[in-house]
Amino acid sequence: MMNERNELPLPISEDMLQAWVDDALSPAQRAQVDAYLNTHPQATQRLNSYRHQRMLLRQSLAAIAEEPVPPALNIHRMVQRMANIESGARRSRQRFSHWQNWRSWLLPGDTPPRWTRASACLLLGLGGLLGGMLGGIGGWALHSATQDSHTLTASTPMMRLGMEAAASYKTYAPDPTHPVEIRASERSLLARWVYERTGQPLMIPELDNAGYRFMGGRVLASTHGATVLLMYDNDQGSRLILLARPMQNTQSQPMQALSVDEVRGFVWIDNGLGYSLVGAMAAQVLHPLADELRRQLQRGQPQNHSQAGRIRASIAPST
Amino acid sequence: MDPTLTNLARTLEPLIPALRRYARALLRNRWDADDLVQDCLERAISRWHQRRDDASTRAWLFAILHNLAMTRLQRAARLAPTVALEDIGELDIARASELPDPLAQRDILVALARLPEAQRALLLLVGVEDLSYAEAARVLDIPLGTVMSRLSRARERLRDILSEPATPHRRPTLRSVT
Repeated sequence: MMNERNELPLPISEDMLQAWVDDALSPAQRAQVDAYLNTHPQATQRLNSYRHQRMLLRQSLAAIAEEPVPPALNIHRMVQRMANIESGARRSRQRFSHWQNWRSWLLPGDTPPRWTRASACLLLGLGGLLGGMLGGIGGWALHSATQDSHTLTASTPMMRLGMEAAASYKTYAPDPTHPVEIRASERSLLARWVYERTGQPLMIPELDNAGYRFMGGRVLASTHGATVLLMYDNDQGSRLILLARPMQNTQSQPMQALSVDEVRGFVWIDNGLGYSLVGAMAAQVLHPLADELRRQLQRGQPQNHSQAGRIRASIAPST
Repeated sequence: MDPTLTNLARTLEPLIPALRRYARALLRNRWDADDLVQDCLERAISRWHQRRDDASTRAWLFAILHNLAMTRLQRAARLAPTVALEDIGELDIARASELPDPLAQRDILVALARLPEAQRALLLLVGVEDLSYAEAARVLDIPLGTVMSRLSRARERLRDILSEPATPHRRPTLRSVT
């Protein structure tokens, strides 16, 4: 917009002054504005103030661009996952078989398949398939949280735990009056109760740094013994449920993603206990929270200082 | 390694830090922002053939991200029309101690949060992300003339807010969308 032709100098315009702030003027126009500012102290003051706010803004936001890029934003993994979703869909439904290999739609000129719609279809398709088998609970899909996405059969213990978590979420999370039986203010009572019922000491992990407060919990029955339910919520009223119960297979298991209707979550096993974090939000939002809970549970204490510091650095510093 | 995939990763990866910064400055929440950037990148990957050339890829990505952010903010505004400024907190930006001038920088972010979204987006694109005026016009889908007049209004508005006398006990509220 700032033309550089050596014609008659344009009269000073507000656009030129703004471009002066952004250093977007040609040398000739810049000299013209500089000369103007020499004789107009008010304009100088105004533009210097604009430059100062621009500089402050850049400085205060610079740290974000220096953070390490989170794994969820790794391009190779993202492409892999999108390809897996498509190939998974092809395996599970005949009518998707005409889709091309994912590589071909990265090439210019090809029409990309609607992979997002594909993933939705995949979930719905599996939901129909498994929903009939399992009854009641609705759509269901469980796949590895890592890049090698595979659908687990309905009979895996982790899937059963995930289903219990999702079912608990649907029952208790929408409850406006009694979502939990024992409130966070009675932590010691909850801990004693859990210890009596399960024989396991209870560690309540914290998600305060991610904006989620511990609300309280309850003990549920399952065919695998007593199950502990912990609930968290944030300022927007969004709730999370962490379910924990003993597993027959005591070997630690990597995190698996789950999806039941609008509920998303993750399941993992550590030290003989199975855990599932579920919520009605995107898996990408839940994943870092599940990772954080797992870290705290493995360590056996809510947030050590360095960890808390690291998270706080990226969330809100406390005042 | 697939050559298209290599090219795609090489083009996209250097842009991720700036996309995260823009998303977080708009949404003021780390998780939401990264979620949005992921949506943006997935869209970019699946529509890779639609981009014009390497030079305009940056503006193209900001346009995708901006549209996703506006959709999300509008949805959030319907659910919670006003947000107390204190609840925006420290804007999920960075540890205050890491900033050269923590007070002034917190002020500028709080002031920025009080601007209408359209002005805030423009100040970020031009002043922080270094998009040209023409690129910003494309991202925001507005004429160049509007970019210039909006930029002028946004800067003046920000100056007004920053020159207001400090009133620490006030609880100002903010409409999240104007």
